Amino acid sequence: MGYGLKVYDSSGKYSTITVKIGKILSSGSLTMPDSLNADNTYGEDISLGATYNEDEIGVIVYPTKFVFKASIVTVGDVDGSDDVYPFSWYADDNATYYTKNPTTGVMTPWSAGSLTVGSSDTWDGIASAFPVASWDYPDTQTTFSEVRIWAAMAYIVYDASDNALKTVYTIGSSGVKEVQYMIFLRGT
Amino acid sequence: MSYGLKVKDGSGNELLITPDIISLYDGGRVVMPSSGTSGSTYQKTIDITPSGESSYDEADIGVLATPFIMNVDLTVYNLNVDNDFWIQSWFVNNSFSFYTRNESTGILTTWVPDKSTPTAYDGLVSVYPIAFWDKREASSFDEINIFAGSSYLVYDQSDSVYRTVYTVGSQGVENINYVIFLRHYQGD
Repeated sequence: MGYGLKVYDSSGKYSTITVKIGKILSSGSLTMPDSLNADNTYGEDISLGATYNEDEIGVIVYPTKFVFKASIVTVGDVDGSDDVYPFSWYADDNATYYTKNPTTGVMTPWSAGSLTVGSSDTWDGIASAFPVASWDYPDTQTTFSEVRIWAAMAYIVYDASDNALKTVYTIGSSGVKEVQYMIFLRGT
Repeated sequence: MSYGLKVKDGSGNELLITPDIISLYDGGRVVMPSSGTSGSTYQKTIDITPSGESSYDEADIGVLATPFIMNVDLTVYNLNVDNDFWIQSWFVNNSFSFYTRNESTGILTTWVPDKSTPTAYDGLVSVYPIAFWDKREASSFDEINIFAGSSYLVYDQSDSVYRTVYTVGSQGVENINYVIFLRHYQGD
């Protein structure tokens, strides 16, 4: 221990107060936008008031209000017994989905197939859907004067026309509408 | 309150600093190890006693981790109905390395999806990313182990059981955002 201020309680426990002491800069609920930013990234920026290194910042984000966009198709009474009704979930061609570049954060529209009868390439099945939220920044960035809160409903889909598995997202009132977050800082 | 350090601002707000105050020990984004090994644990480890400080009790540590980039290994089976509709079922594929995980010890064990015949395929219920502090039933800690992976809820046909299995690293969750808080901080 080369520096710091020790504070004891009456039982002898102590805490060393150093520049790593934390404070809550900002917290609360945040309504997520319905559209992308001008550079086709997504999220809400919260100013830190100064510039900090990555390891001086802590961000916690949880999705709290969300919806999903999907279509369900039921075969019907598959064996005539009136008790077996298989169904599948598909991406909804009325919804706006995006893919996301994990390095840059840029989001690109992805169009779901139209579930056209007789056209197998238009049936984009959904394997799973779940809400996600995080602090989002490009991999190359190491100092920050603001924190970007990112959130979306994620879908693992089979893009039939591209013969590929993809992760796609819906945003705002079509995905994650609200998050709860906390931003911590040290070295202030 | 008979101990502590009181700090006031110009408007009369005051902060009582006691040993219970937290330090933001570490945070940011890290790359998870690229692969797992059957018979071993899997984690990103962060040392919280780098200068030989005493171990921290569980109650003095706060860890939050969120997955950032996710990969999955799935296959989809299309049932063509009357040459009009394509009812889909999802299964785990076998191109990635899958593991079950012992929740008490954190040890991974290889699990191999059965792709020998369609009737043996292991059906998927859901897939999603996870990341968490892997405590392994310890009560005091010198280091923090953070587990992350793509989590698959599957039906294991050959064993007739439902399982949670994982893929990790470049085949699962590549990056995490995390924050570690310490109370009764001893470092620096």
